[in-house]
Amino acid sequence: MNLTELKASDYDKYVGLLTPIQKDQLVGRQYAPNSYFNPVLDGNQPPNWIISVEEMANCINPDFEWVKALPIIPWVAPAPPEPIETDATD
Amino acid sequence: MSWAKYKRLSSSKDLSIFRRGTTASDGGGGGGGNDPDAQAYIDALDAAGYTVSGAEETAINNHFLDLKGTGPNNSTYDWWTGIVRLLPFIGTNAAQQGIEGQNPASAINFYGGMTFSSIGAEGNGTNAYFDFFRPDELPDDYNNSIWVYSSIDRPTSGFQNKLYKALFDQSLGGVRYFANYEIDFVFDRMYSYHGDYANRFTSNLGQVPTTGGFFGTSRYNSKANGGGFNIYANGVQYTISNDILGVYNANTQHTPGLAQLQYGNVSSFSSLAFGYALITTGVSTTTEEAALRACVEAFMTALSRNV
Repeated sequence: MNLTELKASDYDKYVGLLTPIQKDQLVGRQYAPNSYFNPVLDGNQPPNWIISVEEMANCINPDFEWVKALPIIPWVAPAPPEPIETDATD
Repeated sequence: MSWAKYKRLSSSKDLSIFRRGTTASDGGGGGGGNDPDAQAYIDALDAAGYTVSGAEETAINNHFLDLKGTGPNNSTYDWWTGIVRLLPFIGTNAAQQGIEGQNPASAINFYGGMTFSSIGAEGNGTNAYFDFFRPDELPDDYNNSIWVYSSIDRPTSGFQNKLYKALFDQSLGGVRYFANYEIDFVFDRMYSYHGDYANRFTSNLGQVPTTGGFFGTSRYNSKANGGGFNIYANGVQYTISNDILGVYNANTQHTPGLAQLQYGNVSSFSSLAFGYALITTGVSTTTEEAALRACVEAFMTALSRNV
């Protein structure tokens, strides 16, 4: 599957798969004015570096046009841990 | 705004016309009778490529006046003097929605896949969040409040990517310490996180509402000195029994921002739409919170983004 085959209504179900090198290339870089890439690890084991489909679709920075061709994979969210309740005031 | 135009503007730093309290000389939204700060914000939107409608112009002007205590919905409280950040999220892209109302020469940044529409800046539940403030920008450790308006209701199911979270950080201890307060709604409970632990806020009015609307935290004095640190969710006040202290640790990536929760080594992101955000001095009573909420709700209604 690639970006052009995705409906906008399905954007939240999929993400773009990055290699570790591609992740390093995107950190701290803008894909549009006032908009920065934010690669994160997904919930797979082992985890994958991914960016959102929105970043791929809305990228207008010509230096990163290649993100539009990233492989599309289903989004697996990391499991948030239950908080440890305390009365401490450290 | 195109990428090429953005790069030209960024390189020339030609943004001086949006200094606070002035009106741009190159036209813009008009409205010669507007509050000067409201007009500067309208002009900045125009310069960023967004044409403010007449209804939006009236809504913006009324809300700026309301924040100053001279508007149609508030003639009592001054929330403008202590303002740190005002984000009305008007426009259709990040460059427009990021413009700061209190200082239109500045704009916040967004990260990940935020989307921008008439209801505000909407998270994707995957990796999107945005700047809100730097810890050293808060005016006073025990006199600050942080507010947001959610333009959509909280999802009632779907733990995977429909989390309802906002992150608030508040400074403590002058310049030495910064506590990390991440208010988490996902468990239908409210916590303030610090380190690996979480303090729970309580209310005798039940669980956190699932509807969107006006949410915030307010600290107006230490508990020991008769003050409080409260959370408000659509008018319901949540309290905590102690003064939470914690140390802001940049190494743990506890970055002040909205729509992100950082707990331990795990990040989670909101899928909410943020229609409004404000940081100002502390709100000390439920009466004052109700007055501020009425002003923000009037603003959201005028922009057709009320829940």
